[in-house]
Amino acid sequence: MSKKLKMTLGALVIVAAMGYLMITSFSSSAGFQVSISDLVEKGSKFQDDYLLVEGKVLPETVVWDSTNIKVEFVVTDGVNQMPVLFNDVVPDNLDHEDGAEAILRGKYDHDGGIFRADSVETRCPSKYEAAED
Amino acid sequence: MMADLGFLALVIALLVAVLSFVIQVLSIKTGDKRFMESARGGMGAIAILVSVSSAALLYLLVTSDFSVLYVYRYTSLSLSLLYKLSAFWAGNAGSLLLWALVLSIYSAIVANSKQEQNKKLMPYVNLVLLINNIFFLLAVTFFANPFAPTGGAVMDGRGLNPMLQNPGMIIHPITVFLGYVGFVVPFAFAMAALITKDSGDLWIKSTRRWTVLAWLFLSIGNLYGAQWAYTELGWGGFWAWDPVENASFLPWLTATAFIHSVMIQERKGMFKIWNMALIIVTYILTLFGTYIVRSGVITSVHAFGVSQQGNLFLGFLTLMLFASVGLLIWRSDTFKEEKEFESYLSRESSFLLNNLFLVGAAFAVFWGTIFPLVSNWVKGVAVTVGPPFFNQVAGPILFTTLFLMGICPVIAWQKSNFKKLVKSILWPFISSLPVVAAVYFVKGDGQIWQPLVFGIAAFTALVHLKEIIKGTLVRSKIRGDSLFQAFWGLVSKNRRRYGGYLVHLGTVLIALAIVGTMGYPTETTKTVQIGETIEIGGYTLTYQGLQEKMFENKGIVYAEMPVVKDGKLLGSVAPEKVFYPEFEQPTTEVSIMGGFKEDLYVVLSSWSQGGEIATIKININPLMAWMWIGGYLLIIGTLFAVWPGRGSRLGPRYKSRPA
Repeated sequence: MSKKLKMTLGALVIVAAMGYLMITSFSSSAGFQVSISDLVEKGSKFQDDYLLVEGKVLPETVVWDSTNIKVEFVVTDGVNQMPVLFNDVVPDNLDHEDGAEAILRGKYDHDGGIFRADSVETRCPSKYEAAED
Repeated sequence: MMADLGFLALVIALLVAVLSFVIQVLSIKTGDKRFMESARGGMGAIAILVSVSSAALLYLLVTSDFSVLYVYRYTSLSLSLLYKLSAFWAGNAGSLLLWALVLSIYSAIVANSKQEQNKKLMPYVNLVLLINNIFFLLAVTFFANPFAPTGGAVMDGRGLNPMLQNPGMIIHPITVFLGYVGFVVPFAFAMAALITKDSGDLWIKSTRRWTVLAWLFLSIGNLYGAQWAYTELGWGGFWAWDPVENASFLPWLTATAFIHSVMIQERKGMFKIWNMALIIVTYILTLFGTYIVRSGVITSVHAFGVSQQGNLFLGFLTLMLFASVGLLIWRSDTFKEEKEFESYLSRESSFLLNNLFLVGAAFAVFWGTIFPLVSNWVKGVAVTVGPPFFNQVAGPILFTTLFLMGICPVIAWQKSNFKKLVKSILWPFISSLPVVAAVYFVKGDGQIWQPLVFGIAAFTALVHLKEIIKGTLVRSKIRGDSLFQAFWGLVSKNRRRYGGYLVHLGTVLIALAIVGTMGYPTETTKTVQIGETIEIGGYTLTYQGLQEKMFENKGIVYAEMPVVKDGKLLGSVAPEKVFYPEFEQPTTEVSIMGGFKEDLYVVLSSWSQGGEIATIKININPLMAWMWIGGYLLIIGTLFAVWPGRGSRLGPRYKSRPA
């Protein structure tokens, strides 16, 4: 085998290894990005899936339970509303009076009609706003 | 008035850019030197005009002229001067103007540099730079005008969001842009080399400092972004694999690969097409980064909803991608590799591996970032991947690269002797084994990847230190110099190498911080009453209630808590919630008791009953401080390597061995 061929094969083995790494990591952490309406209307379809959802928080619905370290709130996409449970502290800006935009990751409990989030992020404030008000 | 001036300056700059482009084309067609001079002058004029426009915006911000919408949205009367100035890049329009400013200044410098050897390339370099200037000036003037009027009488502005009132706000955007935009220079030279069928490495040599400095700024930008997130956001981490974060990490990865692989081209004349492709990819990734942020097509905390601007950037990105790749393919037969691979145990092959790993990691991160878009397009449902994907893929690849970093300094060009190689890495390798064992047993949580990474870090650091010490001792013995003289003589004669070693050492420290905080996280959240204690990782904190104070115009509520460890009072932490005048929501100010071993990271989350009860969140981040220390080493090492003067030049071109 020529040197060049050996080199190429070696490189391909490494590329294959990285590809394998990618594929196996995919299945362990992939989630579907869905809308609130998708969940509320067809929730059972996503029962065990890991999900990513965006929505606007209704500030008056934010309830913080300091004894059990959990916060519950309701998000909306303008059409449907969805309650959320997050077992951690309230992230900054979540109860912003204008309605914070939240990015939620977690699973949807169709029977309970509640989204159990394991990650809640609020958008970086007043940055590149597309909707000029 | 000032706003009109600012806008007018931009419009004129755009016209000058278009005109300069035409003149430059004419200079190529006619070969008339005067056209070349005109174009060069034009590029200088663009820089001056955009500077004038920028100065106008700064003036408007500082004088709080709320008749300008941008000033209204991002500042207020009570904002401190420093933040009024940095509000320049707080929003889309201003940050685009910043990009245009940096670009115009870089272009003017490049166009007017007196490099005789670049004469043939310069007209085409200028063309590429002008295309970029035209695009960004178009974007600012027609799609994101920072001088747009508010259209009504306003007494005070909305104010800069508290989360952006942080030193990170001043440094992070500028350094990231200085980095991003910097890559347009080597890209322009590469395109010029392709057009003129110059298959040598003049384009690389001429832009080496630009590339390294752009890489440095991008590194600083990424590190500052991480530090800002760490100290400001209160979630205890510094990197979330958010699409926008990835967007500034991707070009960093490919640029790092590029910085290494060009060394092979410089010495052996190999990898010519690969290097061209790498710089094209790096440049396109910088455009991709700005596209992601401004279009909102990928869900990210740093980006907002979809706007027509997104398509504008996508269009430009696609145009430049097709043009540059097309050019590369068209001219690909110009390139002849000068040397071939002699051995797979050589520095060339280790650099090839380095490139494979870095580009592989970049590909994985890129794929993970755009996957929602692709899957939506292909399958109709957007599939996202979160941090676990990126950690599981990028982690092993980058840590393997860290190990490779330990072998590179001792592997010879062309062909390395296997026995010699093993001998030179033997005792660093053996010394790293007890490190692996020690971490494994001391931490005792059964996982093996963290101890392995510590071992790799030890190995790589030891190899580098060994080389430096060996060189110093040899030089001292031969010349009779003192150790310090020998050391200084050694490193200053070959700053490129030893600067590089320092950068590598800095990277090892950063890797330590990463494996420490991400490998052994400790966290607790507890709701406490006055007098209650919280215990975590050997520390005991006592909640003593809340106090209030005023600072400038902000109301601060804080919880001063003494920290005791092993019976000794270490001091106290005082996490805060800060109330800014225009904002109802307070922001969290983290309190960090940092040390070389770990950071004690405390957040005051919420309280009730006037502070009788409070919820406190505490993280222990092992080795976090080493990220910033490593960052400083990285900066010093890079500057040491590229500082002009003797000792920064490359070694001689590798001559063929006699048959």
